[in-house]
Amino acid sequence: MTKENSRVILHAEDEPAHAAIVRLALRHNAGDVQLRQVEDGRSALDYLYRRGPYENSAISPRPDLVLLDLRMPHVSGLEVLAIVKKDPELQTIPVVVLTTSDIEEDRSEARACGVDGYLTKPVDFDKFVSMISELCNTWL
Amino acid sequence: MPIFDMFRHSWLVAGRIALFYLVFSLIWIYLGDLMLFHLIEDTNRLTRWQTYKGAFFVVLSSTLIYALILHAVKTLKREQAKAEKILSSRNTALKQRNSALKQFNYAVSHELKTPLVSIESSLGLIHSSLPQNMDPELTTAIGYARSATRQMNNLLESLLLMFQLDAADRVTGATALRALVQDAIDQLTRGGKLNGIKLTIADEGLDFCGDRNKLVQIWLHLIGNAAKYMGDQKHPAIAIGAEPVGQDIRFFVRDNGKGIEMSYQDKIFGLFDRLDKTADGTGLGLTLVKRIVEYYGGTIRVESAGAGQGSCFYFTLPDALINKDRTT
Repeated sequence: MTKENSRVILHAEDEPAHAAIVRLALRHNAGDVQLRQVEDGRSALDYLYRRGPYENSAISPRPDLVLLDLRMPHVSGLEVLAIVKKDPELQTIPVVVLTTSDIEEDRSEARACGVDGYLTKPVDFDKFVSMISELCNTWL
Repeated sequence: MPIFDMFRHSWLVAGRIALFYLVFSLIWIYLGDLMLFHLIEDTNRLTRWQTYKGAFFVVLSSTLIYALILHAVKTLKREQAKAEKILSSRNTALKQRNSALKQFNYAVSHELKTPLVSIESSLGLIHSSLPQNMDPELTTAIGYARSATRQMNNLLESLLLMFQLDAADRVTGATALRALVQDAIDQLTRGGKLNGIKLTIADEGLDFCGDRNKLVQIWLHLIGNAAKYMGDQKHPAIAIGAEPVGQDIRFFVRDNGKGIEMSYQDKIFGLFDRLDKTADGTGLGLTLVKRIVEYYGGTIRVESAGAGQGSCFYFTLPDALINKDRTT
């Protein structure tokens, strides 16, 4: 169950090690934050639209921030982003892309879909952890 | 006939046609007049028939000129169509190569980097969870593995930059020399690479047009290299600037570090060539710098009196410089 006034982050990530870093960073540095992690874009959409295992809003509350990996099975991060930003009910939720891709095409596509932030995962554990902490300070 | 051969021999063909026309015309006039003089005695009739003969000749030569021009135009069009076909097939091949390059960029940027982030993240997690009394050998081994991961990442990023060099510039307007140098210095300072080193920047008020990211890489690698190979210099110093040399502006990055032996000075710009295997680096930095300099139409060389004598890299960037005449 969620605690009142705590902030909720929905994180869609198919790489377990990357998901673990985000969990660790939030556990140590982000105070009263509830993290909900899903393994692909389809589950992220199920969560946002409260379908299937995410029907119960007490267990799966509306997120205050969505973190999206770009390349995920079934539904990509860009597809999730496009759907969220077109939906009047969801478009106010900030969406930040968190990916290893630093190519301009991905950045511009994300911008075109209305992304609120675009971060490249660093190949450095400490930098990755501090990036997540800064991210929470900025958006929550 | 290939179009180039056709043009190479065009004077010969034109000369032959003119000669043929000249000989034919002279023979026609001479034989025609001779025949008319024999056949017609009346002066008025002779004049009229000479007019007919002249008119017939004009019609005949016009038809000949028309046929020749038609042939030439048709040949040109055929050769042009052939050339366009070759160009089109080369364009298709180029597009395929670009697409393959794009896929490679993507693979490097994402597919190869993703497992590296996973390895480094997992090792970082393990390292941060190790108890205090852990075998130091294990901690060292994890440190080696993490360092190798970061080295691999640096290598991938350098390779990616090399492959992206020929891609279109992301031109962001004019950028001042000082801004580019400062950008490089800021990046190196954040990584703690310039601690204790005295830096001197001679700002000549020069502006560049070009891809800022590509241009910054030049100073980033040259200043980074100068700092890395400082040796045991008690007063480490790096001077960065530009100076007029003839009609050109020459840039320099000078240090008082370890220097480079004469016999190695040609080797340092080679792919994966590293003079000091114990130092950090991928062996791609100076190769990348050379390629960027050449991309902007410049040259680069190093001067060093030898080991322990410091070194100075000189380079030019003619195609990236906006206000070349400000220091001259």
